[in-house]
Amino acid sequence: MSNSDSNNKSQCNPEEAGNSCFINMAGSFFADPVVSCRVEGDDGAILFNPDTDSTILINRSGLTIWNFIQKPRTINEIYAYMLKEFTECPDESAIHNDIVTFISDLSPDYIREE
Amino acid sequence: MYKQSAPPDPTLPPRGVSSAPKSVDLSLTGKCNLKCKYCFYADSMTARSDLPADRWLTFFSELGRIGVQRLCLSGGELFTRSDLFKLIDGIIENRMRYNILTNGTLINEDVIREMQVGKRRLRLDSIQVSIDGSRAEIHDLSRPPHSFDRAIRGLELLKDAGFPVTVRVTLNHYNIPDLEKIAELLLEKIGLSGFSTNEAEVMGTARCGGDNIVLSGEERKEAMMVLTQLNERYGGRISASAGPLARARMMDEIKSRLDRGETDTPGRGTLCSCGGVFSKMAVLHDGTMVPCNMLPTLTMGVIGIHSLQDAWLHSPAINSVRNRREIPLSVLSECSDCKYTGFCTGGCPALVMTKSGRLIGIDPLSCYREYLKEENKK
Repeated sequence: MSNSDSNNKSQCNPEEAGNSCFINMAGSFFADPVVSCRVEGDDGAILFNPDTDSTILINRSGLTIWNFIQKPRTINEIYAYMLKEFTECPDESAIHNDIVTFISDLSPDYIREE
Repeated sequence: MYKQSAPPDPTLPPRGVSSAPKSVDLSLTGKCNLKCKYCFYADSMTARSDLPADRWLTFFSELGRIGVQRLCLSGGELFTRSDLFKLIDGIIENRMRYNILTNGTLINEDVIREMQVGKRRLRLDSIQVSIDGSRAEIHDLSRPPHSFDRAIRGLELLKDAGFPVTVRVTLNHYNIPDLEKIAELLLEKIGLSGFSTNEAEVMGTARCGGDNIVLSGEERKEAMMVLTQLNERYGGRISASAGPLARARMMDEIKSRLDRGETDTPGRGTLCSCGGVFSKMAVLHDGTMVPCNMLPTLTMGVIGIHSLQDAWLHSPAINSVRNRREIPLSVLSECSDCKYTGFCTGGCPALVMTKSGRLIGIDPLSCYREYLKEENKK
């Protein structure tokens, strides 16, 4: 969902994924209000944190999550929302892992925990 | 002139254009406390009025919403605006970073203090001061009296306070013999990590001022040689994206390719300079949107009246500049019999427009064949 997806962290096994996977699974996460989002049609969007001068490319699924976490949401709330949005997903368990990976990849530069 | 069978629709952006500019150059004021002899922004610009702060703040909100990341702020002289910091805070509030181009003469302790408030410093990419000589006797030949001392004071205040300060040296008729001393002042005495260069062009006051401020062919040749040598001495700390140093590098690169038996440079051979219009655009101080502030006659609309995003994607003015890169140099009458077209880019569209009055054409200073003619005259 982000340009760091190629790091093969979809299973989110801490031993494989390293520190990026250590997020509070019970926490609520929200889009850092300082971050801007430039939507690029079918390509997804570019997030920009002007305080850290960092950018990241997210795909359309990532953009769906990004729009949903404009107010604080738990992982389970995001999961339920994505299942509703993507009804034809072949592997529902993969969605959960992808959400966790997305949140951990984008924390703390773009996503904050309440 | 050239013939083209099917011109592209100028209301559609070519492939590769993002949904919004990554950065926008803003001339926040047409007013300046100096009257320099080569200012490209003077001349007809003085007839326009500055937009009030509330119009800019509304515009910043639009920019933040569509994901513009950076603004380059200039004028006129930016620090003549008494509400400048209100505008900078509007940029910060709308999730953008910024950089500043200034003549440096209005920077004092109060300005330094103001620039440290809140996130003003955190969000500042760089602040560029113009220095055109190693001493007042040179610098002030192209600028009003006492400009040098005040600019150097501003530069040193910024440096001492730890701001990301840079310097632009604009090469002109008066400062070529001073280049070595300029490099010594900036890199050794003041201790900057580097500085950039370009050259005065026949635009604005340089066109209308009646003073022969732009470089002659001989002066440009000397500047190319001296800057290349200085850059070697200082380990590449002198940069240029235009002007004599950039020209020297480009001509040297073409010569190297020819020596290796190559027949072109990948990505060149069309009117592909410049790529700026694919990632940025500009707004003049009265709110007129243009592809570049050196192309002020190619209007794209007015902020607050027209949507910037719509202008960015669909304005024929900016798409005409973008579509230049589809035009092979070989179809231009001035290039049709040239064997070096595969290495060339045609030069800056704004300079082509200034020198020839049309957008489709080449700047002779970017031409390798012209360069060889100059070399053969030596």
